[in-house]
Amino acid sequence: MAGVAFGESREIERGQLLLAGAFVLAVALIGLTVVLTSSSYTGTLASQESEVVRGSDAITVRDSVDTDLTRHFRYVFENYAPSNRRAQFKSVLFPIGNETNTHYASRGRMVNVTEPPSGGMFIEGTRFKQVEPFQKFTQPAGGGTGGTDYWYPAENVELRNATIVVNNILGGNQPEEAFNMSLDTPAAAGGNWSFVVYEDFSRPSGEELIIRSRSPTDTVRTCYRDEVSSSSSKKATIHLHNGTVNGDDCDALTPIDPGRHKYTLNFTRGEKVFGKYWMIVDKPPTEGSPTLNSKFAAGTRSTAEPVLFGARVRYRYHSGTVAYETNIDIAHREIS
Amino acid sequence: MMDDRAVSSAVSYVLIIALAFTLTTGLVLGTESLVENQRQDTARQQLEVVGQQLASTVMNVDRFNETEAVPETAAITRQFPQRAAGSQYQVGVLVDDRDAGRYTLYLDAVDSNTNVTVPVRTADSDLRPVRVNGGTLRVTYVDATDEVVIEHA
Repeated sequence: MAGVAFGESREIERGQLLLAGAFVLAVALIGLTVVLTSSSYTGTLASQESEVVRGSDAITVRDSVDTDLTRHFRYVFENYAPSNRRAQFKSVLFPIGNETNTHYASRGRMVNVTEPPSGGMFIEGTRFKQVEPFQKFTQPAGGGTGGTDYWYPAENVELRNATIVVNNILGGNQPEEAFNMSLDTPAAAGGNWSFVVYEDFSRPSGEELIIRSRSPTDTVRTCYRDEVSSSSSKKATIHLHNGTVNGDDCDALTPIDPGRHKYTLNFTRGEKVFGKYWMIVDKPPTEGSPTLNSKFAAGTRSTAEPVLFGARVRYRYHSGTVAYETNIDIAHREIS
Repeated sequence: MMDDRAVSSAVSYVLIIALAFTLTTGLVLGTESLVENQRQDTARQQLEVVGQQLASTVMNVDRFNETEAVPETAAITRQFPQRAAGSQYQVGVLVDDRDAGRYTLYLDAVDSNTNVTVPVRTADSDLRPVRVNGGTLRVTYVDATDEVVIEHA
């Protein structure tokens, strides 16, 4: 009997071991299931993100709309008379907005491009220019806006299409004595830019035109043009917005991005240079103190004419995760 | 002959029980340690994914503010998991260099003692220092303070 009892006890103990093993196995399997499920979910989480969910699709569409309308604005600006530009631009805005809306609605997104609800769709500007080719860069007309060798064409404006044609330079072969144009920001952001235009006769190639700029961080950059001399047959055409002189890149001008901020434009020692210039700013001719009109349109050597500086449209993007509504300024600093 | 050995059945029983208990304890402890390590790894990976996706969302909302006009509405809602590998977690923002727009997202799993940091940079606005529970989060641009804010949706 004892043998039989002992045998039964060993069977029971073996059963307990099996039970314990099964328990351990169950715990391990449950734990591993949790881990594997979480791990698998991590992969799902990482792969479920899309451009739409992340919000970058809203920016892509915004940039696309901006580019399309800017192209159209450029076309209108260059091919229509000032009196027809507004109507032409508006006539295209509605179809573009409608097609954009339809296109994205089929993909579950509401994208809309319309006129701003509060009006003010167009940004009025001024193109002021000195048209006589051999005039000093002193103030053309009107009352003084600075000292005898200092004046400001416009204040607190965004600048576009700044072109200066230098036909002659009167002395000033040192930067401290030369014509200086500066872009002074009234706000803390942006910083001031300035550049001087002068000649240096001591260069290896002889007479050279030198353009030297100073950045907001006081970095000085210089570019030379030996094909330009003070004779009128070798003039220099400076495109500030393109950063070029006579079509070639000028390292001193390339970093300047005048459309980025509001600036006061200053001309210093304008009597040192002969030539002409034209620029577009985002204020109508009647604004400023003194007004742009009174500075430029009072004589024959210069004019200040109204132009369409830009347009503003309402952009709305809504998806399941993104809500984005803003105004887009069209053709801002893009037209060259 | 076996029954003649000087060992009682009670002692044999105790020895077998002790052996079973030791083996079971060892297995449970070993398995728990293995599972815990795997769980921490999984939580870390999940938090990294959440952190990186949240960082990209913050940068996108910051880019919403790069238009000339201030956006009237700019918000992205993200449905992140409530738990990372079974553990609740929190999301925090640490300011590294506000002027340079450098911040760190700090994700901390409460139960598994796992945390992850993800750097994030903003160009046009600040990122408000906050601490919120994980889950569905809304990233919003606040015009009044020129800030991007992470809040629980």
